[in-house]
Amino acid sequence: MTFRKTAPTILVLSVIAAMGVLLMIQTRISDRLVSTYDTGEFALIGDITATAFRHAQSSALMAAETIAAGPDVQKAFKSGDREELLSLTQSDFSVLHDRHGISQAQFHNAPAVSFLRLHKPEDFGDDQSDFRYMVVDAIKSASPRQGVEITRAGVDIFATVPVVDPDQQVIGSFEIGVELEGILDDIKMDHQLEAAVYINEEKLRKIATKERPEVFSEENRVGSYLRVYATHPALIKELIGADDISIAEDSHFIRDVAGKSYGCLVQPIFNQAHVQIGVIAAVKEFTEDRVAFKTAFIYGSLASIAIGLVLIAIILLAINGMILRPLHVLRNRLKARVDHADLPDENLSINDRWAEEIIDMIRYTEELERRLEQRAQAGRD
Amino acid sequence: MHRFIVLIILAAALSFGQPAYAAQSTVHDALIVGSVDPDRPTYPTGRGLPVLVRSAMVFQEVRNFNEQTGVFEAVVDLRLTWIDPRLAYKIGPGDRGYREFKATAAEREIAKIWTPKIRYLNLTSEPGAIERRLRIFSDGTVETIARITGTFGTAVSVEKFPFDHQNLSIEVAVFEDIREFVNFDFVANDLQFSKAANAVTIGGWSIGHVNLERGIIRGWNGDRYSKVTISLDIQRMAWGTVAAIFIPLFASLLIPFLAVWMNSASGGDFEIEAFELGNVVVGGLFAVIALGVTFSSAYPALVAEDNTVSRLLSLNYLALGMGVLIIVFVYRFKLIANWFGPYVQNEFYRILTWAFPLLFLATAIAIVSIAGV
Repeated sequence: MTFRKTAPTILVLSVIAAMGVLLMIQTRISDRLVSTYDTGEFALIGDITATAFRHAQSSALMAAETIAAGPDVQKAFKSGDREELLSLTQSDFSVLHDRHGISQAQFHNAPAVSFLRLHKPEDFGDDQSDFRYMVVDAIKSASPRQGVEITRAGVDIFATVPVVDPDQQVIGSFEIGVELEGILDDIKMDHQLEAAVYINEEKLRKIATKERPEVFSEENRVGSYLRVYATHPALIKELIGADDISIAEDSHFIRDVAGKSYGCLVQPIFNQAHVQIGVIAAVKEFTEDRVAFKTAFIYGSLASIAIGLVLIAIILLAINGMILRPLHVLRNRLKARVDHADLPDENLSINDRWAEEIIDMIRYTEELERRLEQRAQAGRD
Repeated sequence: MHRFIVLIILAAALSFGQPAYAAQSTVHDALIVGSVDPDRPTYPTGRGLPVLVRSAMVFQEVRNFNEQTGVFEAVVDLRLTWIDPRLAYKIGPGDRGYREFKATAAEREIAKIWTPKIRYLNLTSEPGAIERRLRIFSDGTVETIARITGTFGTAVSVEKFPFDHQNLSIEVAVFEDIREFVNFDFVANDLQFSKAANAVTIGGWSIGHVNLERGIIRGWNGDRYSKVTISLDIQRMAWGTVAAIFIPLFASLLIPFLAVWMNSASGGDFEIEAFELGNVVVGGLFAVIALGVTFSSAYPALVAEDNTVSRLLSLNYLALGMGVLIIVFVYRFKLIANWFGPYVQNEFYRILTWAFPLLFLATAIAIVSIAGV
C-alpha cells in the first residue's frame, strides 16, 4: 500500500460518494415536491368534477322543485289527467331541454311507475321500482333526492322531488335529468380537463334498453365497462385501460402519451342504493410541470458533477502536486545518500515553491548529511 | 390596325373570363364573408343566443411544411354545425333524415339560410379550390363542410429541437358577429371527426392528433369575437437530424480537447510549443464559425432563438475559449508552475486531460437531454 495511490483514491471516492448522496437527497426532495404538487393537483381535479356534478344536481333540483310546486301541476297529477299535465309542463321542459342541457323529465306514481315522460309522452306506465331507487326513496321519504342513476334512456344526473297536494299528501314524484355529456363538456371548457364516464356494461344493457346503439359498440368496451362518453375519445382511449378503471375507490396515475404527460384521476360512481355503477375519469395535462421538474433535476445533476470534478481536481492537485511529488524527491535523495550513489538528475532539485514543511525536512536532512560527513571526515583524520 | 385587333381580342377574353372569375370570387366571398346577400337572414334564435356553431376539421392533405418560415400548404375540410329550428321538417317515408346539397346546389341553398360569417385568420394567400356541401337534418341541425386548399402560417418553436412538436394550426374566427350572438364550440363528436387523413405524410415528421382550442379576438369598444384554433400535432423524427446537425456539433467540440491531449508535460515543461496548439484552436474557431454560418443559412430558425443547437454552438465557443486560456496561461506563460511549482503544474495538466473533456461532454449531454424531457 502506498500513500500515493491510497490517499487520492480514498479522497476521490469519498467525494464521489458525497456527490452521489447529495444527488440522491436532491432526487428525494424533488420527488417529494413533485408528489406533493401532484397530490394537490389531483385533489383540485376531484374538487372540480365534484363541484360540476353538484352544480348540475342543484340546477336539476331547482327546475324540478319549481315545476312540481305549481298548483295546477299538482292538481292535474293528482287527478291523473295526463294530457292536462303535459300541456302545463311541455313548454317549460322544451326550454330546459333546448337551452339548458336537461335531457329528460318524468312524473312517477308510487312506488316508481312512470306516469308521464315529458321527453317521450307516448311512453308511460312501466314499473321502474327495480332500478329507480331514487324515485322509490323520494316518494317513501317525501323528501328530495339527487344523484346518478341508470334509466331506460341511459345514465344521467337526476334530482327527484316528491309532488304533494295542498294537504301535503304525497301524490308521486317529479324528476329532472341532466345529461352527463354537457357537464363533462363544461368541465373541459372551463378547466381544460378531459373527462370520460364508464358504466358497468351488464347493468347498462339490462336497464338502458333505449340507450343509443352506438354506446354498446365494441370500440367503447373497456373491460367490464362501456365508455358512454368522453370529451376527447382518442386521447382517453390511449390513456385509460381496463385495469385503470377496475377500482372501488379513488385512484390516480400519471401516464405519457405522444410525448406529453397526463395526470388521470378515476373515481367510482355510486347510485342511490350505494351500488357502484361506473367510473368517472378526469385528465389534466401535466407536461409543463414534469418538464420543469426534470429540467431542474438535469441542471442539479450537472452542477453536482461540475462541483465534484472541481473538488477532485483540488484534492489531486494538493496531494499529488504539493505533497507527494516533493516527498518523492526527498525519498530519492535519501535513498541516494544511503546507497552512496550520486544525486539523481535536476528533476529532483528543491523548488522554493514547495511547501515550507517539505523544504524544512529537506534542509534538515541536508544538514544531517553534512554533519555526518564532517564526523566521518574527523574520524578518518 | 394591329393594335386595334389586339385590343378587341383582349376585351373579348376579359369579358368571357369575367363570369368564371366572378363565380370563383363569389364562392370565395361566400366562404370568407358569409352570405353575400345584403339582406342576410336573421339569427336562428329558437335555441336562444348565442348561436353555438360547432366546428371540426379534417386535414386531407399537407403538401409541404417549411419549418423555417412556419408556412404550410394543406387541403382541409372544415365542418360547421349549428341548429336552426326554422329549418326543421317532418321526415317522410324513405327519408334519410337529412337533405343534402353539393357544390352549386349547396351554394344556392346556403345563400337562402343563415350561416355564420367566418374567416381564416392565418391564410397567407388567396385560397385555391373551394367546394362546399350542405346537410339539413330533420330536427333543424345544419351542417356545412367546406374543402379549402390554402397556404397557412403557423408559429414554430424550436426550443425542444430535435425532440420538438409543432402545431400546424388553422385559426377560424367569426366575422362581424360578437360572442353574444355567435360562438364557436366543439364537443366530443367534433373531436372524433377532427383528424388527419391516413394519407397525410410530412417528410421528417410523424403525424399526431388534431386538437381544438377555443379563443377570442378582441375588437373595439369591448367587443369580443369567437375563434377556434384547430391544430394538427406533428413530431419531428429526431434521428434525421443526427447526421446533419449533431455529429458536426459534437465533432467540433473535440477540437479544443485536442489542444490538451496532443501535449505532454514532464518536469516544468511541455513537449509541444504553445503556438502550434494555438493553431489547432484557431482552426477550430473557424470551423465552429463556419458551422454557425451554415446553420443560419440552412436552418435560420435554429440560430434565431434559444434551443439545443444554439446552446451547443455556445458550448463550442466556450470550450474553444477555455482552450485558448489553457494554451496562453498554462503552456505559454506557465503561470501554474510559477505560482505553485512544476509538480503542481504537471498534476494540473494530468487532471485537465480528463476533467476538461468530461465536464464539457457532460454539459453537452445535459443540453440534449433537456430538449428530450
